[in-house]
Amino acid sequence: MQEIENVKKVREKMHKERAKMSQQQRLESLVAMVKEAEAFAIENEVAVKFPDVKEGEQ
Amino acid sequence: MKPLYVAIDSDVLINFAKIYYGKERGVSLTQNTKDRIIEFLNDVKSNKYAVRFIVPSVVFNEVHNPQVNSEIVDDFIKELCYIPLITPNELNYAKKAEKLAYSYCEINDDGGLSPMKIEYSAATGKYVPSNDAYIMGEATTLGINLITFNEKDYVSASKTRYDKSRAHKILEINKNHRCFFDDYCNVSKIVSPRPYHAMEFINLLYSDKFLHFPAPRVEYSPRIGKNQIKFNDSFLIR
Repeated sequence: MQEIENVKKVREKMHKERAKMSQQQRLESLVAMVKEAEAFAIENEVAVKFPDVKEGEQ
Repeated sequence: MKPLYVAIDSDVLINFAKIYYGKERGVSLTQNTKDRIIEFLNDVKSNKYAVRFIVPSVVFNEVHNPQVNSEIVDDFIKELCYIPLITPNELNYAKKAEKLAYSYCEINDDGGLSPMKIEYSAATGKYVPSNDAYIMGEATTLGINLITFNEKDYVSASKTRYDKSRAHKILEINKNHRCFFDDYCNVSKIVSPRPYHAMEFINLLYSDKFLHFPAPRVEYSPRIGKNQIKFNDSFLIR
């Protein structure tokens, strides 16, 4: 299926980009992805809060 | 009925969206499987089963990439899925998800294979976890199981003794990281997240068995909309 094949290509590209990053950059990239998804969720009213993911929790 | 939250992988999101909207051309599943999925999705839609599909941020960004952008996937997210609100703890969330992603790729002390493959990037000469590992790391951080069609990477890639069930190894790693959550069916029990094949999950749901799934605490359910949220330094409920 075309979409699945395209996702595979996207994964490969994201993977290569991640391999070039420092740990700090990888975390910043993941935070940016989370924020992008959150913005979509708020805009489209599909957000749900997970309060157990707390600050300081490792 | 208490909602059951599960994270979905990109392949599940795309296949479910195509089947739900009758755009099944190219979906490589048997007609029986497609029929089972449409029955399940209709039951979720009508709230017969209070399943809440959660789209992890890596999955969201995969399907929202310009190379993939699909209207029916967006429609499906808006109609039947939820996206976790982590704010203001995104950084700690990312740290925890990444730590887990690396753990899934470590060679076991007993010499057994790691449940997920660390992948080499020839372009940079570095090994890093794949998106799959990050997606499982996100699901675990949220405290929910992941459903996927990607058996090769998650569930049972090989029948060898050491690698009979990657899902089981992921579960063990999550326990070692003390990722425990209340059990969906039995409040006196605790369980850790793990991956499930999408059809195994659906079959379990339709069986009379207790679902020993993690049930994280979730606030503001059902959906949070723009009207309930005030933008400030963080999102606040009015």
